[in-house]
Amino acid sequence: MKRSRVSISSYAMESPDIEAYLGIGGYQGLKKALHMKKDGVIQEVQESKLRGRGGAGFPTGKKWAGVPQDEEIYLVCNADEGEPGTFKDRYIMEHTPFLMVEGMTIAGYGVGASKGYIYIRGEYPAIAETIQGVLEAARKQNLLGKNILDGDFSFDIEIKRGGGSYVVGDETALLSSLMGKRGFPWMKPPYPTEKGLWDRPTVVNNVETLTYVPLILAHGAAAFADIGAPGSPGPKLYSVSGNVNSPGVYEFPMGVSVKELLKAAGGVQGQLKAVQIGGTAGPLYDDTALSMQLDYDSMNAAGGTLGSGAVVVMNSKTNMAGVLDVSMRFFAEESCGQCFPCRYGTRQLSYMARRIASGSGEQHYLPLMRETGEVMRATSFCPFGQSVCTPLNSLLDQFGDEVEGFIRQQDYIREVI
Amino acid sequence: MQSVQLSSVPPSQDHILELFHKFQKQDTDQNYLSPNSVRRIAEHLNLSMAQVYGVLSFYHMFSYRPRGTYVIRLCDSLSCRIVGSLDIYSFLRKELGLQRDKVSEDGLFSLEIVNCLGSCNTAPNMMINDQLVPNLTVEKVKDYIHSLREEAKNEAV
Repeated sequence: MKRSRVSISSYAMESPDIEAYLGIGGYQGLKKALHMKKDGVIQEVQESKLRGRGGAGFPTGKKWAGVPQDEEIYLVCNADEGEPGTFKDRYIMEHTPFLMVEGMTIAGYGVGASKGYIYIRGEYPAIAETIQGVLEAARKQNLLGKNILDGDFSFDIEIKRGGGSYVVGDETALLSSLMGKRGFPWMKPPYPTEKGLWDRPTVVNNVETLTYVPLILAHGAAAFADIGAPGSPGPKLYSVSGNVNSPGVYEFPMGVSVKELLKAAGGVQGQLKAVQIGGTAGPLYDDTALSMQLDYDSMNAAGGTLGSGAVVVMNSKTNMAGVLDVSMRFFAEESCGQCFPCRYGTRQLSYMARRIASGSGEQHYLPLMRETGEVMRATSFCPFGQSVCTPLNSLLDQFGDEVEGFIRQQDYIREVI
Repeated sequence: MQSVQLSSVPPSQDHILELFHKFQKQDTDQNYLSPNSVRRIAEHLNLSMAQVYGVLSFYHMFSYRPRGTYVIRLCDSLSCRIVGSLDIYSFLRKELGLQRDKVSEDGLFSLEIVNCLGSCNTAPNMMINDQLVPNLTVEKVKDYIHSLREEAKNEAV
């Protein structure tokens, strides 16, 4: 892993400890921020060109600058890491949680919030406990709570635990869930920055986004913006899993090639067959993925998405009918059910994928699946349903022959037995 | 079983998931929210029971049906699938007679399939109640199940 000073991994500790964190330059970013005006902090983040690391890639400084004046403003850290193949936020919360909490405090100061929430997914109970300890340690050092570092700024953080839902990773669905409702996404606008929690302006940022903020303040926007791809600069945490020798979280400058990333992850186990990038809603690629560059603009230009930075590697032993089944079941089980096209479409897709995988597929399923995905793209309420066609079509475009051959064989077997 | 103390939780709806977690863990030994738990939560938050069930049924981790003492959440995301989650599933099914979303006859285990536990570098993974069990092999699962059975036996004595 590259250990530039401007990196999350250079702050990683086996068991987080506030004294140790202060010893390696922790909270320098917050100290600098508190000597600046709020607008100055936002401007610094804007100049760093930091883009949201949850997947959408929206410029963070721009989001903060869009927060109107209000007597109550909320900051929410989205730690509902549910995207399959993604475990970078777990890495941060296990190894550099103080950096995240410091980032939240700086963000709170910048946008004028006095209350922050960390929404941690329900499947991370041990992490919720770790973070509770981290918050207490920060309060004891007067780095969180009333009159931080004896100044005028007060800010505190409350942990909220999720209950197991993928859709809640979407910022509007997350706010529904945080308020204790079913995790339904809502229509934007109004954006949460205008009307979020209890109709107050609310900034929702991903764990990784907030964790880079102290580094930007401590080392300056230019030091961050100089790293990696010019359009979406800075370092980035990539989650590599599947058939590689050393699966893990790797930090590289934005725009690293898939080839270089897989090399860092110990190389592919066996013969590379397919790679899925950006999460379950991202396309599948064959070995042409190796030359792709992992930053927002390059991936969008290639018709894909960087998403959460998840890279799942499949070798030649992988059965693509099985991949289709896993993927479609995921969408069927995680659809929030709010809108008809997604609720019903995902169920149909999962049914057909399961029939194919279990040896009872029909020839007309593949065109019907594409058509279903297209209807969902055009008519679903939120990006969840709209995006099902992406992995579906890319899988069928590149590995359709394999799946079709498998179905044809099933026809034959049905006739002879 | 220790009954949940409601006085420590503010009576506002944004604490409902926290209450679900607490009650599910403490109010019964079957990892679920009984009608009585739901009624107490509804009264505390000044909601109807239907409203509470409405929220409860949305989230995968909560159940309004009794489950095993140990809830096994086996991950079958793509990352776990391609490195052998189905081998673990077959083992649990064949050797232990566990079925998805069913409780074992002795009431000790229930098996759930989940879509990602966020620890894909240690795939295949499962969780047993609140604990992550990473880098699964059939042997490891066998030992684990054995020790949980022993634990249950000792507690019963």
